[in-house]
Amino acid sequence: MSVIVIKDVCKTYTMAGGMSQSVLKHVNLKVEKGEFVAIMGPSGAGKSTFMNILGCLDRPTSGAYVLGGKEVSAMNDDELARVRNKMLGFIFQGFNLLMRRTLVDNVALPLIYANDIAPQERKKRAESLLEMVGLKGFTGRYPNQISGGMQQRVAIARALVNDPELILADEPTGNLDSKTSDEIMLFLQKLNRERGITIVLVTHEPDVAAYAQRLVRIVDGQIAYDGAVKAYMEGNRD
Amino acid sequence: MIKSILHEACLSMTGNKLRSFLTTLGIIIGVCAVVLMVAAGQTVQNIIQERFVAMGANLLIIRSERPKATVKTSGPTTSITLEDATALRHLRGVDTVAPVLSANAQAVRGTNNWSVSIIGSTPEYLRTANWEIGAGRMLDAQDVKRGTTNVVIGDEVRRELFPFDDPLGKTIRIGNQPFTVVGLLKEKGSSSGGANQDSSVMMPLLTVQRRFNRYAKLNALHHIALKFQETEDLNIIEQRITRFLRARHKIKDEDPDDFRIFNIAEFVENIKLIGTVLSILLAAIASISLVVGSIGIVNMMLVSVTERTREIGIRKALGAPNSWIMLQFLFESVLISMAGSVIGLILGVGLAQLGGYIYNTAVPFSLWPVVLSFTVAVVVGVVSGVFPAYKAMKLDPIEALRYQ
Repeated sequence: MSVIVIKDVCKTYTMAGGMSQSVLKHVNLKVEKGEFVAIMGPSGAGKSTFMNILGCLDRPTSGAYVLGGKEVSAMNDDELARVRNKMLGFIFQGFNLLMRRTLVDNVALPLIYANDIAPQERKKRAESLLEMVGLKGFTGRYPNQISGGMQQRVAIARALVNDPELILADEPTGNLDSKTSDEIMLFLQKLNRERGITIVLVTHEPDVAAYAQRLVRIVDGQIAYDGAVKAYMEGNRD
Repeated sequence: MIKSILHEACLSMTGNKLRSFLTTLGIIIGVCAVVLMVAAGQTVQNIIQERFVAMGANLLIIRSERPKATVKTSGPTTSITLEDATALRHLRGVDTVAPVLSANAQAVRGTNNWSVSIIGSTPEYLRTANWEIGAGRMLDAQDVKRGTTNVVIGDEVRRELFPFDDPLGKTIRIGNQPFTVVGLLKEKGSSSGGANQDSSVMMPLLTVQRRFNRYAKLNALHHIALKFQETEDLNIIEQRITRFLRARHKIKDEDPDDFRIFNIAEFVENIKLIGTVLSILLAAIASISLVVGSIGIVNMMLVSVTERTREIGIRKALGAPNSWIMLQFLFESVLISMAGSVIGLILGVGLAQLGGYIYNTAVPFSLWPVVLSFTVAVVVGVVSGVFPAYKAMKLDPIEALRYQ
């Protein structure tokens, strides 16, 4: 079953003065359940825009986006918010935890917006996920009391709390040293392999992309390569 | 859902305690000021009202009033006479009548002197004016009949002329004539006209007629103080007196009255109105500080929205609907103004009662400051929260997440 079906998606920004700029040009992409996809490409190629569309934070100018069997490209803000809440998990480069909230509150945050889960249940789920990412004794701490790697693990726990169809990771190791980076990537890989969680990752580091199975390269708003990571790495190194 | 939003709003508020407190302080001061001012206004109103009721709600003052059309005569004239007063005694519904002839003079005793108002009347005056003797005796029938030089002095006159000794039996000079103090009046306070009644000196009517009469007629009176029976209706007794005096003065039907009846009840109503206006005015002035306080909330919320742009982005990315974001910020401002109102209310009521305790005055506790402060809390909270909350809601999650 396909988690993501993107058909002929374009994104055009209209500048002040009537000039328009095409950032994505007729992109087609299918991601199956259980895949681990890395998206790479030079700066300004449209990676972020593509990620925003995948993350339902933005809508394509034209084309269709079916996420988990739902057509989302024409939804309004609140419908998109609901899709993000129910079907997506985000991992950001800057962790994006709420600094004034405890770790358990941070992890449980998406569940508040789900509206149908009791506070005790939210806490229970958040605690078990913190345990899973190896932060059992830290539930009452605040993000600024723990290391960057730990913060990113909290963010992973938060991304998993709503049982998403898809995890979107935007440069998840960009703020981490290489050792911690490896740890986080191994963890994501483990999640993908053992639990069959679909992950789409944006990075510009080949080392990070190497943890994925499949590589999608975007150059100048179009998909320039779509295939196995290994094949690409062996074929041409950039 | 509301509960969760409230919870989040509370957490955000307590997350920055100092700022929340300072913002709340604006509302606290505002509400406290309004409550205090309203209490002050009402207290003043009550005190004035009490004084007037003490003067006697069933007291009428009958004064002469010169019809405008009549030819001007030199010197003050009056149409009210001692005979009118005597006749009124027998009118149905009348309790007591005191004829009053007044004058102003300087009272001197040794090196002390004080400007006094002389009340020439009969022993009935005390009962009519709801006044009491503090020491000594009131003028009696003999004094009135013979026009003696015995006087009863007001509390202030006593203080000024006899600061250290007992005035009873002592001689004072009023208008350069010797008088003997036989009694002291209890302290009374100001009259309806605002004059200080404690600077009065009471003399037998005949004495004033002989020595201090300003009028052309010997039997002229300044006014008649009349107390009617409690069972009588004010309007009916006024009409009865009017008919009676018109007949006595032989006034033709088409001519106006040559006298005027004043009553305390009307005066009390007017004073009440003044008190109400005063309360509203004070509250209006105090509410300026409420406006300033609510501007403080707007300011704080706007800063908060900017400062928490990234948080808003995170919340939106994780699936917070626009309404959630908006409500959270709205609740925060309502909570702040609510907390401010409650504290301000408690503080205001407490300070008002403390003030009442210190000045030994009953300060009324009314419900409407409570209602007012809660209305204010919600209105101020919503009004000052709407714009910042709308701003937060409109933030683009992509932009907000990128915000440093």
